[in-house]
Amino acid sequence: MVPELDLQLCVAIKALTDTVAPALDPAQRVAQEQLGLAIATLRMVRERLPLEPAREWKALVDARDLAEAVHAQAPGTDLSASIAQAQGLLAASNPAPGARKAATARLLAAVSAVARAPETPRPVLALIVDKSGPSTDLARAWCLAAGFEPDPAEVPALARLLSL
Amino acid sequence: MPNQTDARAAPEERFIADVREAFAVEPEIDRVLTRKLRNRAGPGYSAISLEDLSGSTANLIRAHLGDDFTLSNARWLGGGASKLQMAFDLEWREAGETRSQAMVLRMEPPEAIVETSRRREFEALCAASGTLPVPRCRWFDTEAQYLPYPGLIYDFARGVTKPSSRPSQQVTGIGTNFGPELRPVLADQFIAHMAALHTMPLDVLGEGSAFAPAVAGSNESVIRQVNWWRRVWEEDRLEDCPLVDVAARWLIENAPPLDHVSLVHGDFRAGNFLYDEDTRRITAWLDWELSVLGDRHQDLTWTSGAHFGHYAEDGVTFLASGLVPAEDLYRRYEAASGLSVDPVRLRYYRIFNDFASCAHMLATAPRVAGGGKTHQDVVVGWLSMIGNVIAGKLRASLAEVL
Repeated sequence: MVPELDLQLCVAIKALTDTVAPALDPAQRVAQEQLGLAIATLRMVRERLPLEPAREWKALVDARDLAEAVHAQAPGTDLSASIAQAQGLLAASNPAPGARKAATARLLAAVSAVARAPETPRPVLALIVDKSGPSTDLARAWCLAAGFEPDPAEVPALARLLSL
Repeated sequence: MPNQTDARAAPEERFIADVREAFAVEPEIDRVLTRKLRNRAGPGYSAISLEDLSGSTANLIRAHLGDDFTLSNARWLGGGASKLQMAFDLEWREAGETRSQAMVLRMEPPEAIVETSRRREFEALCAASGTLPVPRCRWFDTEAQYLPYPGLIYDFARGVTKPSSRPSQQVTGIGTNFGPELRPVLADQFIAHMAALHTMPLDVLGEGSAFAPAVAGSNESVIRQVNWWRRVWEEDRLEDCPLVDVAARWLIENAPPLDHVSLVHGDFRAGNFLYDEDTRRITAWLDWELSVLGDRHQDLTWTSGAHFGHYAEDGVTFLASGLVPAEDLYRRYEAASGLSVDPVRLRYYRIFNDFASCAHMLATAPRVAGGGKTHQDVVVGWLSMIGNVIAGKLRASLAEVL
């Protein structure tokens, strides 16, 4: 039997919290800070791990939508192959591990190349900014628990973004 | 671990030559960024013992003081996300007298969340002394002749970055809440110090300085700064972000000429000053590694960045750096400095700062944490998540100007 990843994370967090943290000299502030962040990181990973496939899928959807919008407004751009590949991976029931993530990276790289090209007109740049909204929202929602958002209510709920 | 197919993980000389040619930066910035790339394929950070680091530090001190000194009580200092810091006590003989002083070694890890110059930081601290409370600088070792990595030594400054009665779980002073009583007392000093910094004479940074000159009436130095972070984005990113590329283009095309050249701290915010909890006086300004000769609006917008502030007790008033509403800050800064606060430049530097922060947090932070390059990868990895908050703000700002 393979132990559940969640169980393994759970016991690691418990050991660090209940046994290691109390044994640490309070004067060792650097070690205290790193232990606190190590525990916080493990807790976040434990919470997010079951959602990771859904996040990878949604990130690819967002990147494809961005690329399609740019391609529609600037048909001369070299985006169609990456878009077609993304479509296939979104439809696939059992894609290879990491394939969707790699396809997202390829789409973003292709759109970035458009953004950097000197001949790309301002309306296309504005479109890239506009259509980057969903991916930015997803990343912010994913990292909300880190506590960096000054106004967390401004960030869409992760469950809604992932259609859970 | 870094992706082995990633050309940035072990950059070849052709890659390095290309980025150097594509992005013209100040010579000292070019030096540290080029060194970073050439060392990238090398080992990550290996834990250094206090004993070993004390020995290296003693070697640096010996080169300046000779053998007649004692280094004792070495201890790690927390805080900050980028440099390794060790405090120690030094006793030495000078002009026939015995002197003692607590000091701090501030040393780079193999790669940091921001790759900067110890020589520039040393010069900025020296330049600001006499105008602002800063630790007295002693010695530096920019080529790691004595230390494991480049570093500098300055006097230990007493004080705290946040109230001991209001413990914060956040890193590097982000979102510090000073409380309603202390807030106005610190805000007065904060604004006065920023005004003094931006109006101080710059002749102290003379011939041979590691800061390239900046000229009022020209935007050349502004473009150099944009290029600094474009180059970092090009060197460090693991994944593209089209928004960042749009920002880079807009910043180059809209760079405003300087109307006044100031020494800009570059990270002027809560968390980077110490204050005495009894006297409630600011005792030291720290972390000068991002300082530049440039535009005061860079500091003004940095300190009022959404991620460095928080809402007051009324739930509606947003406090820049947890101290003062941004509009009050600008009005009082104008009165204190005699310099104008220009809304167009504020908008430009808000985008500039968010662009640079995206480079730090979305490109460099995951790159160096993934490579195991720092003494606190867990802090750097955690901090990288703030990049998404900043990217959201950058997108909103770009939507207004495009």
